[in-house]
Amino acid sequence: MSYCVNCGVELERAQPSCPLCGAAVINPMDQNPSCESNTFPENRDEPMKINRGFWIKFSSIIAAVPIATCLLLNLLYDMRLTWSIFVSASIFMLWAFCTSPFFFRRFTYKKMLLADLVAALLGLGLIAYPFPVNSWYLFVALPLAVYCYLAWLLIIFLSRKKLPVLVLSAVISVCISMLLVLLEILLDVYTIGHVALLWSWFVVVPCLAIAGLLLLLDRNKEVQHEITKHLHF
Amino acid sequence: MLIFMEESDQTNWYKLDNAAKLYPAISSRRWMSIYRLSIKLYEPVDKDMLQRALDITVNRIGLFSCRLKSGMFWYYFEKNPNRARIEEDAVNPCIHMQSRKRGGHLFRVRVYDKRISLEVFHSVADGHGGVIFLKTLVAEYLKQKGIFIPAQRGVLDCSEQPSKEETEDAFLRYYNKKSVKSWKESRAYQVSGTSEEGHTLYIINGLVSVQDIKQLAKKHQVSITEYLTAVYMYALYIVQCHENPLKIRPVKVSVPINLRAFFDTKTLRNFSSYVNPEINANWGSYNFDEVLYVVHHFLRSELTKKNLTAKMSKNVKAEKNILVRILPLHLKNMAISTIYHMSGESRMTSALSNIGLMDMPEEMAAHIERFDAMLGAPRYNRINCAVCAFKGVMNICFSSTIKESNVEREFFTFLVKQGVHVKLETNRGK
Repeated sequence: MSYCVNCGVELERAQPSCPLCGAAVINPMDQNPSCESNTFPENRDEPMKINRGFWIKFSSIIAAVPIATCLLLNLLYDMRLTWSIFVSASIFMLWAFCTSPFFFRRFTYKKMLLADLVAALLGLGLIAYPFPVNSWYLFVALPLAVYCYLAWLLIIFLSRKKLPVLVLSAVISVCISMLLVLLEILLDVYTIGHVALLWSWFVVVPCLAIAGLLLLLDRNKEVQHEITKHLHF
Repeated sequence: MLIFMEESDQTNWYKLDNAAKLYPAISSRRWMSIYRLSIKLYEPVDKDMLQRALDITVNRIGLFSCRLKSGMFWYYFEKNPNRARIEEDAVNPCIHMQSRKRGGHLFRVRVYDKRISLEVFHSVADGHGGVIFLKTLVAEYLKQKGIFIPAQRGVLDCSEQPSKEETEDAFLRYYNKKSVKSWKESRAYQVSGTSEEGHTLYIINGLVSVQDIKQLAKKHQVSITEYLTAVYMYALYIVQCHENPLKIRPVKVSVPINLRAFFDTKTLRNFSSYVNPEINANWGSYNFDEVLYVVHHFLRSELTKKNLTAKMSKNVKAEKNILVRILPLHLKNMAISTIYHMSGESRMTSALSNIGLMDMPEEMAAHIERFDAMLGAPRYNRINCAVCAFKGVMNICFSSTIKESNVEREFFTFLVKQGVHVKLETNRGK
């Protein structure tokens, strides 16, 4: 018999280390520890697995049918691709958002968000493709999509760090205000050529005020307690 | 004749009991609430004989031969026409039943060398029902080998017809709508750690002498369950203090209570409740004696017939609510799953289930080396503990889904410091 020198518990002869503290078990008196029969069997039960390949193929066929139909009808009636590109790009984005989890063996929010970003950019790129003169894709869609991706990434990262709910809400509020400022800047540059910043202030000021209040509230436990006391249900 | 006739003599189905209704709703593709009981014989198990014994036992305790079906508003159990098969045991027990692939069965009998294990989905029966099934199965197996085992002390006679009492929903019998407890409970500390991929359930079995634990409990004038619960809570409290001393939550251990000790019933279905003793380190630091004092007095004050009736009635009353009843099953599942996610396991740190001393006919005990009990992985919490005793050896089994074994270490080293000899068995590192 072997004992763990740290924990003082007796271990099975075949046990190479203590399961409680990890200390290696060396018994100089026992030269052939593996000869004792194992308490636990060797074979493993495999958990139920999703056939990812099947679901990717299945959803691809479901998406391909309306895309092909639209493209064909468009070509037959107009002899060129016009409206069908919008429909096809939208279906493609929907397909990519729904199917992206099946592309990864292990689900992580970073991979998922990146896949969604790529799908959104590709879909929007398809819509923008027939209008090469029009540069809305580069100056509006691309920066907005990248901002949304980074903001989501930040919010999920902070929520995983178990930030207090009030602080997280403040961050979300700031992110929303930044999004609107960015949107107005991009639209101004795209439409009139310079930044005017006229309407986004109406959202930014209340959003920042709310964020400030939330941060203040997070630090004041007494006020939190009073609010909980009066508003609980 | 199978005993699926409780609800209607003409049909082969029955309703889920109050506790059973929770488990299908909170089950997922990867997780279901499973517990495991094992008996180790002195000789290797003959699988053909065990298969014959299983056929006879399932025919006697038809309750286990069921499959789960969805109704419009509730799930129900239906007689399963498929034969239950003996399966090989695995190093990672209590994995999802995958019942569709296995003919819809919600239990499995597994064999490894000299050990016969029963894994049961908790909706079918609680630990008491599982123990009766396993004892009857092993008795029938020994009979197949030509050993006479009398049908007593929890072994059922397979030549007898099953009684209706065995499948009664005892919750409904003892429910009292005037006596209902409040739902309010505070959040508890949750053990954190590194998860393992691939559905690994880490097992650490600690074998200790019943006599040693009995003496320790006697020294403090408490019961064995109270003593072990206190040691477990103290171990969790120490781990929490090391993990995050600035953010302390109450340590609560859920202790299942067999209601058959308080209410007269022979049901083999679910009929258990729980109590959650608690220590809150925000009120000050605790030493072991203080924890034991809290657990002892909490359990003594909670374990009264009136209190348990009120607790049971709380759940049954919710089930009987007309709004709950008319809600379609899938909406109900979503609601139950959400409530469980938000306030189910978060109200307890872990569970400690003491099956107790295994009583069985002496003729049968002579062929059995040991008895084990194990709880499957909890859905959100990380660790559970099951205790049972047989032939003077107590088996304390921790099942955990994290790599770290700090709680187990604090628990067993505490016992070692009290002078208890602990022998460990584990599937870690295999």
